[in-house]
Amino acid sequence: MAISLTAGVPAFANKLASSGQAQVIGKSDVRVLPQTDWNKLSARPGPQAEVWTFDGELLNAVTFYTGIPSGKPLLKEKDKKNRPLPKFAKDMLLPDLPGFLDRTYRVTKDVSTFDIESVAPGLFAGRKGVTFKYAYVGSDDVRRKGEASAAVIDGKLYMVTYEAPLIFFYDNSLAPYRQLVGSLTMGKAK
Amino acid sequence: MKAVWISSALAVALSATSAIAAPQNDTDWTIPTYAGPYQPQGTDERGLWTLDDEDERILRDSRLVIRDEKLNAYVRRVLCQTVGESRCRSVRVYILRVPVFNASMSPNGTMRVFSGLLLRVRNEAELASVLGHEFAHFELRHTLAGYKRARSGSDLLAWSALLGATAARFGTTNGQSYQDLEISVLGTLYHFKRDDERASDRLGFSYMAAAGYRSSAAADVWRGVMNEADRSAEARGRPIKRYDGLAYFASHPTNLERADTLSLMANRVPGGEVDNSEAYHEALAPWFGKFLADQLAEGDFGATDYLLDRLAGNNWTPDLLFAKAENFRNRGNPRDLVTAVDLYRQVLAKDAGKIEAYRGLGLSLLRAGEVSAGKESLSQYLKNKPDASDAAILGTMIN
Repeated sequence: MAISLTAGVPAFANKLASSGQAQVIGKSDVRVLPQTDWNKLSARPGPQAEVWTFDGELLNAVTFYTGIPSGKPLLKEKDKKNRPLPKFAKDMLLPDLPGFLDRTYRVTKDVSTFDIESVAPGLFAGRKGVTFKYAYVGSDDVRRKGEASAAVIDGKLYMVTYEAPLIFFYDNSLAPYRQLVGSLTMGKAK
Repeated sequence: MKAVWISSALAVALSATSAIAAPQNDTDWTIPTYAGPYQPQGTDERGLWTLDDEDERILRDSRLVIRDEKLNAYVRRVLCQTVGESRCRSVRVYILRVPVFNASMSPNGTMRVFSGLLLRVRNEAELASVLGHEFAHFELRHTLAGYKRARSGSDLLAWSALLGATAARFGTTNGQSYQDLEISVLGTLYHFKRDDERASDRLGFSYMAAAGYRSSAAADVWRGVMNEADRSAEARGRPIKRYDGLAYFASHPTNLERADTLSLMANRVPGGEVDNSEAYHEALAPWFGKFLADQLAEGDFGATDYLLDRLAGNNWTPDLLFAKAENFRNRGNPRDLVTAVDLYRQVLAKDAGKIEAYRGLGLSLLRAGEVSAGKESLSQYLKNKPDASDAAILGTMIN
């Protein structure tokens, strides 16, 4: 029993993203400089996705998507045959991106209602993009709010989302999330 | 020893269950006397009822339940007209905002009606056929019988079939970790046997006949849903004629033959001609746009396209045309954008007040490379809807 528990550890080896230390997201050239300690989850929801959290991903989750190529979905397919995920297309326009996230969540989170509250110009790692706010109810019946910043760079989708339950948690971690987004940079390390 | 005891106790319970009888043949359409809601007997059944009551408590507080009084009153009225006042009193109806064709009824009298069902049926008669059919399962205690069948099975397979059904409600195997709550809200699906289906069809037709509804509506619904499944599979390059991926069919075995049988039965029922499609559209109107948007967001191009064709028939309203255009724009292949542009223009020709069409038209044109026409269309949209939620980002695209 003890052996199997020990053997199981590497699969859940979450890491600490310490404040004040630059962090590379996945294998991309996207970097972020947190001013608060975050937990980096080792389980990835997709090949180009990484999740950070304070209290667990159901309570506050920051998801980085770093370079989704054209023709690929945001996240791992759940049931490719019967419910394939929508695919990103490089000719998508910035106002199309909130709807793309909505259609993805219908499948991955069994979301029944997804309300887009505002879509405005924004920045991702200094590149011109879009920032949008939304709210949804997933299959756990909890109402969550979300905020995202995205840009299409060299035909690939870069996005960061923050989601947390509307009650208490959303407002509680919004400031550290915005700090993260503001610190995003891209390109080779100096 | 224990196993023997359980199976003999269940055999007694099963024989008690099978005492309820539906009309015996396809010429007898009398509705049996209603004995009131069945009360659980024995530990086994009382346990099931307790679970069911707990599920209903969670369901009652769920955010997925649509609380609109008018819509609820309307759906309840259709059910009551179909099965009669005394039967109707045993039922609590909950309408769930879930864009899947489904309705179910559990042993304690909880009826779940999914918004995807309300979007798909076109009139009261079609709605009545589904509600009546589900109520018939309840009156004939099929859910209880299915539960007992699974419980009495000595192998794990029966159990996994029972549990597997719950995962199939979205037409897929669900890997979510918080499925317990989902089951409570959306309801456990039990498999029905073909004999059960036939008995429920017969009793369902008897209700329809007594209420004066057009009985051939039942076959229309089944054909529509099966065609939709075919079109969905076809658009995804999958083999057609498999219906087990659909939530409703996960619990209701069916095939084309069944729709034909329903047609045959419908011809024999001395039913009425009541469709009440106008009353239906009026009741659904405040929600129709939202349900359509939910369906579009499902991203199932083939199913949505078929569904819209079926709803429109020969009468393409601006709302339905707009949804068709959005469906093409969402798929977004170059040829789809051309189709979408054409459809948005048709919407505006029919109804210049359908402002959202300018948005879709503008974005499709921009994506297709027709920049100046696209900008002009987006300008039109922003002029008429300066407070749109995405006005800020669209504003940057017209300069």
